[in-house]
Amino acid sequence: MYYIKRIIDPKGFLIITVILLGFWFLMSPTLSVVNIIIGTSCCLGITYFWSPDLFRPGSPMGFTPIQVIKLMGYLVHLGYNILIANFAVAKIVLSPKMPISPGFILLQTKLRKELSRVLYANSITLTPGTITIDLNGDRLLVHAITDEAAEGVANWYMEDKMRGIEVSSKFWSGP
Amino acid sequence: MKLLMELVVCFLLWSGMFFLFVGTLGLIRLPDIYTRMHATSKCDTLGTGLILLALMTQVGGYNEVVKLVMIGAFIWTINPLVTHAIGSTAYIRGEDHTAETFFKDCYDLPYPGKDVTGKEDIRA
Repeated sequence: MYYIKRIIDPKGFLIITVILLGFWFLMSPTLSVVNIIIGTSCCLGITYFWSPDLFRPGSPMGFTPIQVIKLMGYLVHLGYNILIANFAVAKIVLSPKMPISPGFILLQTKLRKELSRVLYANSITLTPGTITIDLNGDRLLVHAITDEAAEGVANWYMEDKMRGIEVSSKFWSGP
Repeated sequence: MKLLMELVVCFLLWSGMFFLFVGTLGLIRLPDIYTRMHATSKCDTLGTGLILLALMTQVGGYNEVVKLVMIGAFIWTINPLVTHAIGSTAYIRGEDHTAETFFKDCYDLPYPGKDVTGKEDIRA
């Protein structure tokens, strides 16, 4: 029968149920009996229903604590760069002559993993004067609103930071 | 203390409104679709972020704050993705760009790169 499934990984099952339960109590912070019963049964049911898709053998999605710390530092730098980007755009839009010199640039990334490439492309979109148009393999097509922004994105220090996060993974086995 | 709090909230709300205003003004003033995306993607992200931060200091319990944080996280992750979708669709369809646009191929080259003539030469 389709809807009777064997639980493959009991430890992972419990961990995901506890995570869902934590989210439930963040959303509805009353500790009444009805609330607890509904939340627990919903979390168990959802995890049971999706368990064949959640636990696949042979693809570890591990990350080390040092990667999480480095990612926090990356996010702080990203927030600072978003602030700078907003002031740059405000300066361009509010000045009467609009000093823009737009252009397309094709770049090569040093990053090797799909996830870090996607994160880096999104960081480029959110930061001074540049937008990622296309990402294909290690080719990255970027639109820049001024010439200086184009020069800045060609050797941006955030790429080295993302590369550092990527290399310090436990499951890293590339160049 | 209450006065200081109100001043901070006013500052956050007005600066968020300022960035949203700048984003909309850029959408009207800038010449083509690619440069317009610059204004909307960046200014909307920071503007809504600041307004949500001001709301977070004003609502009561922590479950409302958690919901506002979730809204902020969704906006900050979805906004670049939508920008990327619009940009790549416009690029594939060959939308017009302003006359002074430059095309540079820096793949495997230091920054100034080599000039190429148009969209067909620079596909990613």
